[in-house]
Amino acid sequence: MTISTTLKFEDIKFLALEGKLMVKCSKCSERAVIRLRYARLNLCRKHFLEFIENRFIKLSMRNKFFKNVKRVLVAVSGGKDSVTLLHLMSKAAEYFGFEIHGLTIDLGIGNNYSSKSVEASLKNFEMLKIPYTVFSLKKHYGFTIDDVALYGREAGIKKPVCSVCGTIKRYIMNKVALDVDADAIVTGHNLDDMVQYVLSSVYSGRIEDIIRLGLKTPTRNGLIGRVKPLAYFSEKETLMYVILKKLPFNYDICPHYRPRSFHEKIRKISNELEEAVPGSKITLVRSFLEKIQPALEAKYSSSIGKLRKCKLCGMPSTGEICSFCKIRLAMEKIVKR
Amino acid sequence: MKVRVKLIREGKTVELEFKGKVRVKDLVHRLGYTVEDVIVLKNGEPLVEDELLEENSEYVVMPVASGG
Repeated sequence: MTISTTLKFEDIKFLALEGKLMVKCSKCSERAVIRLRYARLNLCRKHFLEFIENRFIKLSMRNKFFKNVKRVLVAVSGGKDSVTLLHLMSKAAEYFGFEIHGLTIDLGIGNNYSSKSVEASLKNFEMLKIPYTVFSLKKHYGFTIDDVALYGREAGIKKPVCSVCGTIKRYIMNKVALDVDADAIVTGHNLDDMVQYVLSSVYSGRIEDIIRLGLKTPTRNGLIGRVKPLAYFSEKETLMYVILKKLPFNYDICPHYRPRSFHEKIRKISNELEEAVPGSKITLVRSFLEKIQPALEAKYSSSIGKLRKCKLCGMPSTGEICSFCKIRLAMEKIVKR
Repeated sequence: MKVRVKLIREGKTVELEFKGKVRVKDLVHRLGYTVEDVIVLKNGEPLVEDELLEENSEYVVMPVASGG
């Protein structure tokens, strides 16, 4: 039996349901499942999903994410962020009238990590009837991320495996985007990722990192433009979205992931600040991206290396040989096809 | 008051004891998290941080960070 009694208690509306006090949705009389502190809302399942979907469209319009875009490549790892992104992009595609193509990369990571990631991605592509590409690193180039972790050092690769993996993923995303004639690539970077990027780039003072931080980069010289439409959505929101929609996703942590204590501390401290000052993460990222980053980009973008074609693969590169081909050559020496 | 807490990432269940009325956020803080760090579920339903815990119930704590 539902008694629709609402009580004022610490500014929160409670609902008496079967004799127990529950927090009530700010928009209806259902029980709330999440409190969005930055928006000062407690929302039930239905109103949370609606809020996220509407906010995604509004932010896309405000930031002109998909202006003049005809086909978008959605990069899906199968984790909570990219699965949420895919479902929101499917709605945006309908709203704005563009096509989407899904991409999932089989990186060959063990402990069933890659197989679970690919499986979750495929289930979501099929659920939404989105055309997709599964790109296997092993099939195309003869090595896996596990091989990089095991033999990378021996092969002369000095960068950590996560950084190499990032380079490989960016290269494949661009290659597939060119193949399917996409004019933008979207990725699932969330608000918490952005807070980490902003604060670490400020600490390091690396201007080239700051310039690359924009939410939308234009297509230039064969490098397809990238968009981060989830940059203002926290990872709590993306996890809640997949849980409430009961979407298949991979919750495992990559076996190669090693927490970097500085990044972990940024995450912890920014969430402590968010709890004390709701909205502080959004404010930090927004101020940085709307005020500080453009000013620095205007002043320094000309000093960033010009793009030319990699002499081995023809893909855009700042050097004679692109960073992907350098990795590929090093790994070819070690791992036989 | 005693509650059982299933920690998904750690793959274990712990029993916690509290005095008086306890909210979800008190449980979260006791575990060393902020309310932004985790989702707390009961019977598969997410709970708002201000809800009161119930004696002898089981709560599931899911960290939101995916580590990458």
